Amino acid sequence: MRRSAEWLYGALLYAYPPSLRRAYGREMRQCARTALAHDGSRAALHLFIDLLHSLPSEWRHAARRQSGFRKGLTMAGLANDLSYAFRLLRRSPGYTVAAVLTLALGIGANTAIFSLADATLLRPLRLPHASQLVAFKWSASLPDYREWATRSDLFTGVAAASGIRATTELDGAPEVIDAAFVSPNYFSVLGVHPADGRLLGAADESGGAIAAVLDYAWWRDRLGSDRALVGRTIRVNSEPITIVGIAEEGFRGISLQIAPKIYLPLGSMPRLRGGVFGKPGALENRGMTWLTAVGRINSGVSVNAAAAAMDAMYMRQHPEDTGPQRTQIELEPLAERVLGGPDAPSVRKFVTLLGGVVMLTLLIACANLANLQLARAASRRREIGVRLALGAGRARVGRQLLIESLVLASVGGALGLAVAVLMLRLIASFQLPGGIDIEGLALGLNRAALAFATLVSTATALLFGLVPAWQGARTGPLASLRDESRSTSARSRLRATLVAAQVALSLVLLAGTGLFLRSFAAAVHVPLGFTPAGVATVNVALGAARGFDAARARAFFDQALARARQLPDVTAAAWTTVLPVNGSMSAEVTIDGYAPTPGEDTHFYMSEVGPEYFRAAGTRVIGGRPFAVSDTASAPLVAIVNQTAARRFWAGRDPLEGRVALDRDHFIQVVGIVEDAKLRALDEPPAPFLYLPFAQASGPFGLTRAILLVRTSGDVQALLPRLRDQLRAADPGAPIVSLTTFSWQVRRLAMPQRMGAVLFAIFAALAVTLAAIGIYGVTAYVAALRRRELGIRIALGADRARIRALVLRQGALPIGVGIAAGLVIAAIASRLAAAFLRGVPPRDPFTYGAVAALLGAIALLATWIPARRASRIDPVHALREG
Amino acid sequence: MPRRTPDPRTFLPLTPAIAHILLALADEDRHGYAIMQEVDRITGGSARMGPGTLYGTIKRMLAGGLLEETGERPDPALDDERRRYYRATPLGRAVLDAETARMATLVGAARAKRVRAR
Repeated sequence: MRRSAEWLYGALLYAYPPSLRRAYGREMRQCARTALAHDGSRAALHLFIDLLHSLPSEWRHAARRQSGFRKGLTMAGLANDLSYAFRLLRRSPGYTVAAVLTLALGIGANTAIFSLADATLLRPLRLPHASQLVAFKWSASLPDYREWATRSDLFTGVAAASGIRATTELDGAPEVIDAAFVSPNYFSVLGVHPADGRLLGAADESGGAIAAVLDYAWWRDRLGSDRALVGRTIRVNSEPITIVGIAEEGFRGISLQIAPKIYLPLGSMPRLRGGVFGKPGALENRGMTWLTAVGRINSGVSVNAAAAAMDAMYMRQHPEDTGPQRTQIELEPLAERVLGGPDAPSVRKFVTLLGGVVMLTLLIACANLANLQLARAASRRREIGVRLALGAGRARVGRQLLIESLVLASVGGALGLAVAVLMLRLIASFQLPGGIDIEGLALGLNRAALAFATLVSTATALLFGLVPAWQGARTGPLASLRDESRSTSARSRLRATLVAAQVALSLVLLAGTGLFLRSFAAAVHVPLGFTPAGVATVNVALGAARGFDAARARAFFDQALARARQLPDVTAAAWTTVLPVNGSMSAEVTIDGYAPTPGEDTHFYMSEVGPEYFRAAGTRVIGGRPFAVSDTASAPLVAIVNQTAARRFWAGRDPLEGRVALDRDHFIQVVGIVEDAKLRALDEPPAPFLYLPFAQASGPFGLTRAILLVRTSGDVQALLPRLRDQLRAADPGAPIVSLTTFSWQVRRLAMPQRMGAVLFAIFAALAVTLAAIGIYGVTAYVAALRRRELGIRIALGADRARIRALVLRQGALPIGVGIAAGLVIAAIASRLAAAFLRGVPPRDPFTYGAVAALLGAIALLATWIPARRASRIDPVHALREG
Repeated sequence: MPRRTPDPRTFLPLTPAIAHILLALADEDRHGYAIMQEVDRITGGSARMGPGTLYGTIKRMLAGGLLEETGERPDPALDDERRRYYRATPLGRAVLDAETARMATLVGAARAKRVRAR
């Protein structure tokens, strides 16, 4: 924060006259830095005020000096124009504040979304020549990877990585972090440099002490940028490892979902991970595909050519792998992979949608400002006429008006950067599709964002400043001196067009808001198949590598459950291996008495759950019985299926008499049927689900990761710390990965809809306010122009209701046109939003009708106020004024 | 240094910024940030000066011969960055004296007419 404020100040120094900046820029920055270090945000505010205060006077001095020296006329003129513009804007503070705020909101929102787009779509990988990097689509075993890495004709290098969650000890308590095992060439292939110490290399694969490299952000935020850590030894999964270096700032691995905190040599995997990986020769097993391979392609080789060559090589080396199911080697750009592979289009669409929304808001702001400028230009015609009459060139007058716009846009843009920082904070509290960790993107105002803000500010100034500048320059000196305020109808037509445009664009945003709100409401009401309110969840990661053998783990599970159930207000508690919304596990299941058609998918999602699980999760048991305490490891195996499985595989039969098998011959009795539950998304079709008793679970890795669900009739937030204490008491060495509420986790399911609804609502509110101001301004302006005429009408006996209707009718026309145009645009644009809408069609007539009515009502209100005022004109006054 | 020393009174009345900077440099040489701090201190925080105002004014005061630079050195109280130090010239001190005298006259006259600071 402080660093970006300092950077921003440095950039804003460019607004000063070059002579001052060149002489003192460095010292001014130095002062700002010291002040920010001492005073923080108060200093930031003070710096900004000082900037606004001293800019005009510096330019005035510069102008005086230059004209004194009779230096180049143009520069002097420019400085004069600038100081004149500052003075003028200071003279009408109401207009200036309105314009600056409008611009700040518009530019700020655009800058924020640009930062998001920059970090996801444009430059997700801050690595040199990132376009050369490709990811192998399927994970690889170590022998696979070795084969792939031989192709130096295609790749400069092929690196591999595998992520795990590891336990490390910091401040005496176990902490679960993401770590990655990486090949020796990992950093060099990606082009990453060390920030301190060194990175991993081939020498680290030879056994002995395990070397590790730390992630920069983690080292900075969690370890307090302690340089003395390099060379020190810490424990990861109980093994001592030596920190040899810190990776480059900004490098966050090859995924936007998870950033590893520690990078370890590939060869240390068996020692640190244990389990099946610890068995001798395990890494040479071709069946164990655990590596993500990333290659840097040689220049001149296309991704497709490389993929074809790799596939041909694979087929040559593995003639046994044939048939339609055979492994096919595919490559995809790494930039695509980091967006979540199959989710990439969804992420792209969502960010584009946000970009469209903020762009619309900025356009509306521009239309509004152009309107304000036109109104001002009309009242300044006299001033401009005088300048023209005194011999100022038209170009000079036009430039003067344009510079005013530029000054407004610059100040608005500077303030917009503050808006952008706030917006980014809001965005960071959301979640993108594809599981992208927004907080990990560390969104901020970097150089690219500042450049973008400058560009947008300038473009905005041109957009809203050109028309009035052109009109001002066109003014004839005599015409404007003769008559100060009666304007041509062309100008009011232009203003009416601007209003219509504003109304149309506002309607598009309103329609988007309506659609997202309805879709969010629908998402909240989708039956989930569980009741998350009042449930706490604890995620633990045990495992042999952390000193938890089967007996200790089992003891911990029993102890923790018993202690959790004794807490006051707890109504049910159970362990499970899979929590809905938090991952999935599936297996192919054989159903006794069901003959699958060839190629039919008989995969079940599955989970191992404790006896009280269905009560704790709030999933209804529809038939048979839930698991019981008596379903122990030594009791006969039992299973529960969901409704979808019952319908699909036991059609016309009683599932409660059915049996299933995971390994074709050991059949398990089905004892219950439960309702369908959502697993990962609100709109997913229900899929077959198989529940097994937690006590009978036996995975290849043993029970290492499990989630405790605790339902309370009291306050769930108050339960969390007590639950932590009880788990600590059950076994102080058990690493708790997360402790949170079920509701909080479920909220993520509706995140795109929530994010859409909130952001759309903010921008639509802004747009409608701007549009209402614009409509009011135009109607009031037109009514004022016709003041004398209306006065005469009233004097001649026109009744006031009629006058009101007259003004209303004139104001209503652009509104009507705008609403009609807006409906058409919204109907077309809604296709972009369709992917994120749930339970509401993108062209929902109810939503469109409602928002059109709402906007119409607001617009008419904005017309009605000036209309009423017009109908109250005192004819005597109106006529005398003329 | 200008060849002919101008009459200090031609500079009066001083703008608050110039007066504050001269006052801040009356007892010792300071760098920019120290001037800002000292102004903050002597005015009790009522006239905080930012870098823009400070250096714009310093630039003009240097040109007018009221200040001079005394070279770069680090400030032991702050970080070890090198900073440029400023000193009031004899003319600068004379101008501050003249301004103080002018204000003293003003204050005296006000007192005589029973105008009180509130």
